[in-house]
Amino acid sequence: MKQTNPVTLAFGLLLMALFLVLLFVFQVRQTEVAVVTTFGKATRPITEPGLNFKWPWPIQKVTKLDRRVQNFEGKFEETLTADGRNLLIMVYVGWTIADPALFYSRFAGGSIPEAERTLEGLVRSAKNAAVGRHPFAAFVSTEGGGERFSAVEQEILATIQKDALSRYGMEVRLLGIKRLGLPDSVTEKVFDRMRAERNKEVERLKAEGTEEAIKLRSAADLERDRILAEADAQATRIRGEGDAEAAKSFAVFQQNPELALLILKLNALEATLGERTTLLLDPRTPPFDLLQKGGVSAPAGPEGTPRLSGTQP
Amino acid sequence: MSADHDHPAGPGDAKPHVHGPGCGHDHDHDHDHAPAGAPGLPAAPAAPEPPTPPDNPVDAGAQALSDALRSSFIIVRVLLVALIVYFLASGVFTVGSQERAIILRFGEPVRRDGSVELGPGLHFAFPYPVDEVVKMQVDLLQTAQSTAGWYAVTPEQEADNEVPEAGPSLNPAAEGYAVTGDGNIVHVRATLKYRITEPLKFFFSFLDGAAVMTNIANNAVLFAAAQYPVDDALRRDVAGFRDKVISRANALILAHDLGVTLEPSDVVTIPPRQVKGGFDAVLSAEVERAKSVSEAQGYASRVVNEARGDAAARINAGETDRNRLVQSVAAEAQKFASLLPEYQKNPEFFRRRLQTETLHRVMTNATDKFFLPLSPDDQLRLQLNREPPKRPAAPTP
Repeated sequence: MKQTNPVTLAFGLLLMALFLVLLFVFQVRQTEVAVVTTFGKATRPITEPGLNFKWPWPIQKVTKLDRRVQNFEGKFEETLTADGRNLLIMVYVGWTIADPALFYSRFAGGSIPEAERTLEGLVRSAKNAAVGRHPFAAFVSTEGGGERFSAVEQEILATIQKDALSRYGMEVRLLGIKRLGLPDSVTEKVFDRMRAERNKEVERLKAEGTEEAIKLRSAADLERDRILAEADAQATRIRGEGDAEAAKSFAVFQQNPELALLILKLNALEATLGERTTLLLDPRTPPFDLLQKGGVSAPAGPEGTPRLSGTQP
Repeated sequence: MSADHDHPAGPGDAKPHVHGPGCGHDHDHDHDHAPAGAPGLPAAPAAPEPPTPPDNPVDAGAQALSDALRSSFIIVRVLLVALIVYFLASGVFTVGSQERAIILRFGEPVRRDGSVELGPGLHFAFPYPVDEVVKMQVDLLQTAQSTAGWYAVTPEQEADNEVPEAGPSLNPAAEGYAVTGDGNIVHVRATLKYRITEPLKFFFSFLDGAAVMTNIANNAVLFAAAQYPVDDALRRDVAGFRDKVISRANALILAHDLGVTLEPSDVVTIPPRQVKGGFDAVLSAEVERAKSVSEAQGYASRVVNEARGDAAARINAGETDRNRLVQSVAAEAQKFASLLPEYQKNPEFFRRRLQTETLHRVMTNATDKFFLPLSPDDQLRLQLNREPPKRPAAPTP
């Protein structure tokens, strides 16, 4: 007993001290804020993580709350825009507890559901007010690059932020439109319009296709005509060249035009009277003049009458 | 040991004497008295009456108990030491390759080398309640899908690729959609892929960072759709639309300070089921247009090619004509040159000869020949077949 006593005592004292320290000290984690309540009244908010001192129960009590950003969504409700159109808008909100003491006293024991109920009211009124100040085109428009859309969000956020912080100790960090819609009955009209637009588009495409095809075809026809005309011109030129070239050869004929003419005439005659021609001849044409003058003209008689020959078959 | 004591202890009626105090002693000061008690016990059995069996087990039991306790205390001691060692060693922990850890000392993040995040490897922290180690998954590819822009569909239908029946209108409470810049309705779904790059922000500043990402996806989808005409969003500028959704999501992530990085993400846009037929008709009209245009293009190229061929043929024909003319004239000239000397000898005779020869050739070729004598009344009557048949002519000159 004598040897172990000091060690055991020290150990016991240490444990005792630890126990006492635990009674007087509490931790606040990085993700938390805390409120120290003295006899049920919020007296000291703690917003930084670390070790903190408190009087033991029942004098002081510590309530820890989450300091992280909590998500909250408003209701998806109809709201009137400045130009009197119905729009359904739902926003999401990210909020944190910025003033734990105020938050704790406003919402019994720091109740999150109660806080959300309050937030819902804030969101609704801020949303309705902001939407009511802007026309429908602020939300939905092909112009402006969405600046007005963001501006409306900022406006709602700014309105909520002020009230939430000063009255409830809540900091609204972020807000955005989560859903955007048109009333049920309006969607039907939109569909009708979309169908009509589609039909128009179909017609336009058809007309466009026809027009383009016609353009292409006529351009091609034009091109063909041009090509052929050019070719004809070239062919004519080539023939002309041929004539010119031939003309050079004709120079030879100058030596005796009479003979040249004779040859040409005879050639022409021969070329004209090809196969299956019917000839009507004056009997005086040589060499048939032979048939006339001499007494051998007997067979020429019947042959000479065209009528007979014509009716013979 | 216990067997050794059995006999001498047996006769002693130490029931009232030894049992009570001995037992108490054993319990209180086990370590000190164990050796002292042992010699005491054999001394006691001076009394007679050996056959008292109930006493024997009691004494032996006490002894056994004390022994058992002694040995168990040793075990407990060893265990205690082991536990303390284990307790101290429990502060050593490893961080996996896709993890980051943060040490909270009394709830406050510990900063080491300018950063509170501990990377993969072996680390040390004090045991509870001083330090608390929080490990977080990072770098895993996470997905946030927008919910606001899609029609109501059950997971089973989704899996079967089935599209639920469409009513005449869209009930905004049940069905999601986005309103386009020109006031039309489309369905849009964004699937944002992201990695948590700053876990301290993502896990310590947000209760549910993934839900914030879903909201961001929803907002980005609505935002982008609200600026795009329906045709651009659906067909003409799908890539631009996607970029708009993603750039909006990026802007929101930065604004909300969420600590994540977006990876390449998907955006799907489809027309509402109610007007799908109209959009399909437009598509087929487009196909039709493309078809008629390509047909026209085919016609055009065919016509032009044919014209080119034709043109070449015509030019060639011209070329041929030229050559033939030149050749024939050259031949004529040749002939002329060769005939000229003969002609010059006796022109009249030569002329007649040529003429007669030619007539001979011509007459041979001619089918019908008529000699017309000069009739006195200067009249000529002809009755001819349109197509005189070829037949051997009776009269030959």
